[in-house]
Amino acid sequence: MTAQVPGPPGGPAQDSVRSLLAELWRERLQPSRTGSGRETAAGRLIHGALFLTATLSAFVTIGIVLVLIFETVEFFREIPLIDFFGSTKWSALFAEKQFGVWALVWGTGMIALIGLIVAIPLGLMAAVFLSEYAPPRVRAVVKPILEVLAGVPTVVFGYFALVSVSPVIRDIFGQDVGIYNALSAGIVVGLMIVPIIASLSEDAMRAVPRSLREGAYALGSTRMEVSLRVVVPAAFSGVVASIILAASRAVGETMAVTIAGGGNPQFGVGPLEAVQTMTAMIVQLSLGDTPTTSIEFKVLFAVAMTLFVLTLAMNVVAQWVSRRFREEYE
Amino acid sequence: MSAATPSAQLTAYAPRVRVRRGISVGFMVIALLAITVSILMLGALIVEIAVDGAARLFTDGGAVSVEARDGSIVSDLPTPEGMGWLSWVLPIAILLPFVGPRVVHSVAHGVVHGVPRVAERLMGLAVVAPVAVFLHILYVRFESAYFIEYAKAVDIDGATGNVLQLFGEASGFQVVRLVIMGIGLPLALLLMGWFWSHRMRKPSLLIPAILIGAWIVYLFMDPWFLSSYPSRSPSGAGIFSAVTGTFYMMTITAAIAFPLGVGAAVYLEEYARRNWFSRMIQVNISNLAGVPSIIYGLLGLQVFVRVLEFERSVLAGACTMALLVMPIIIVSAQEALRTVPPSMREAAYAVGATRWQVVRHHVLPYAFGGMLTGNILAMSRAIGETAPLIAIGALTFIAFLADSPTDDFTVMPIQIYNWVARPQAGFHEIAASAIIVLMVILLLMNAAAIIMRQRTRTDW
Repeated sequence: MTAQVPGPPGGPAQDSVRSLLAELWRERLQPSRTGSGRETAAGRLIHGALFLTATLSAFVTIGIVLVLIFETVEFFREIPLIDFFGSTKWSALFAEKQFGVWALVWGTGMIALIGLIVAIPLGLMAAVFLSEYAPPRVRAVVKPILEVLAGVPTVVFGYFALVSVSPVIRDIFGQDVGIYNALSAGIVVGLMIVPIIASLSEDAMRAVPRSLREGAYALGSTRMEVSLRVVVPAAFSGVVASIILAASRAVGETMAVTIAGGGNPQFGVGPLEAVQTMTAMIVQLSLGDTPTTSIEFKVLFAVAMTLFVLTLAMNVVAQWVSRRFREEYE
Repeated sequence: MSAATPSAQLTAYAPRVRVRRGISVGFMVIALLAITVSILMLGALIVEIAVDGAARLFTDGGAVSVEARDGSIVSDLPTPEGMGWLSWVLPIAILLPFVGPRVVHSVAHGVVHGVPRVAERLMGLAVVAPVAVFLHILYVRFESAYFIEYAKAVDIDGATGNVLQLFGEASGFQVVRLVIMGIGLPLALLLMGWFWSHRMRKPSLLIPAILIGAWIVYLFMDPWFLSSYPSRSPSGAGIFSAVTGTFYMMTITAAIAFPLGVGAAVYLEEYARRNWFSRMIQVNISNLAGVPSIIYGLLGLQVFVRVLEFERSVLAGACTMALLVMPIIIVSAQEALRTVPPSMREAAYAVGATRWQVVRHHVLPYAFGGMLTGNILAMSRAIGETAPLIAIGALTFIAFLADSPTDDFTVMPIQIYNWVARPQAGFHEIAASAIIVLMVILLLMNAAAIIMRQRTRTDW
């Protein structure tokens, strides 16, 4: 409220008092909770129904874990663990089946890495611009556009990679590069996660208190110095968290890498070759009419389990980073 | 008091609260941008299709014909009698409940408060009118389904292909165009006058320009692409089953996800104690938002398709999608609820309201706009999701319309993926056309969400 004008020292203090009061309300004063207080029988019924809707999300998580574990255990009954995690050869659809998940992890990792190489500079620059340089009016227009960009279906990005990016890559690196390659898929995945990095980092940067910036300006810093040496370090935890979240999104990305990445699960191939990610493999096996008792169907869930654990770990790490390394002001 | 409308409550409790600003220039720029972009995209669609096959662009006469499997054209199908008027009554009947009370309310409000807001509220019609026209087009498309069924009934050999010439210049589409002009022109004048009187004279001149542009676009638009079923040849293929499948699924998804998501948000914000349980649910929701969508697909495959035996149906797809978007809806609804100041609740409790009365009569009306915005954004996420539906086994070649929630279905992104994955360049082109249609729908949804967010924002 008083953020625009430095104003009297009472301003920010008032704000914090207000937020404290709101907190107090939520924590202590809100009229009595379960059981006691004025609640009619119908009210309690509604209370119960609302409680059920809230617990539904817990059941979804439990459902995901159970579904994945169930078929994964079935899979490992037939294929030993060492064949899955200890091999780099993947050939699920051939007569001689091999299930070395590293071939898929390689493709996933490479595309995510290319994506991050593209997205981190772009996303951070956009975030710094929006938070430090852009006038409010520009920001009011650009931020919604970023949100819209984040909402573009991934299948559209896949088309873009195949029809627009891939030919350019072939022009640069020679026509012996395949039309399906990891580089084009990685680049569009990068474009896809730019809004995530930009938007979340910008939120973190705007949370840096004004006094820090003003202090730096008072010492004669340029805007550039304030942005890069004061704001970005102060918001570092948020920036890192946004990058980890974006990486997790890149790992879980499905349609663009299925369309543009090719279907070649090979360990150790370069970025100009076709690769296959874990998600693309799941799509490939889903499209075929796989009987539910076959080993191909079960390996679907083993791979999905790997993917789930990987992305969950990244999300948890991102939350931990943003909590643990947050710079507390005021 | 309980029967009063939200705005009456607002004025009763805090007359100063609802600051209704006029439409700002910034908002207008965004709106115009959205409209222009949509029109440009439609234009690109025309070019795409014109390149694709000029033969499909123009039709002659009002005759109806069906392509049989052996390539011969059967053209002596009778036109259905008495279906024409339905195509207008139906969309209006669907829209009236949404538009009617709002207009009446706005007029009454304007009279009571002596504020000339009628024109402003009528602008809501400008948003609604294209929807009516779209519904009409959809209905006309359903009529084409009728012809295919008819062709099957009279046993024309394998007539499941495309209805080649359904409505000529003299019938349906002529009417649509006329009505666009009929609704569009008065509205354009209204808008123009409103902008003009609010000292935005230059923007006011843009409006007729845009309308005329849109009309020209519509004049040349190819109805066949939107009205045909998938085909083995690119020039005969269309996205009719995909578009209807998408709308069918989205409706069910919203019907499932919105109440559940809002319920969970209300529980977490208004009912739950701050203890380990609610914290766990909260952490769980933010983690669910990060789960890759394809894993939801596998969940749907096992739970909805196999255990509950929904098969590969619209219902299974909608349930899966509802689980996928629920975290988004919950989080945005929670944010909306947090913007309601505690003083509102305190005041209501002070006069003896029960907790549900507080929620139902005071908290929800304020937060509803924000919740709806979140819902639209969640739906725009769901409309583009492909992977989970592939995992549950939605088909790509659907040459019929789903009659019930238990029918097979396809959606636009799956259709697009199917075409992109084919090697022929012709299919890539129609994939691009389908992408344009999808993007126009998405942009309109996003624009609606942004506009709603700005209009419902209140400063406390």
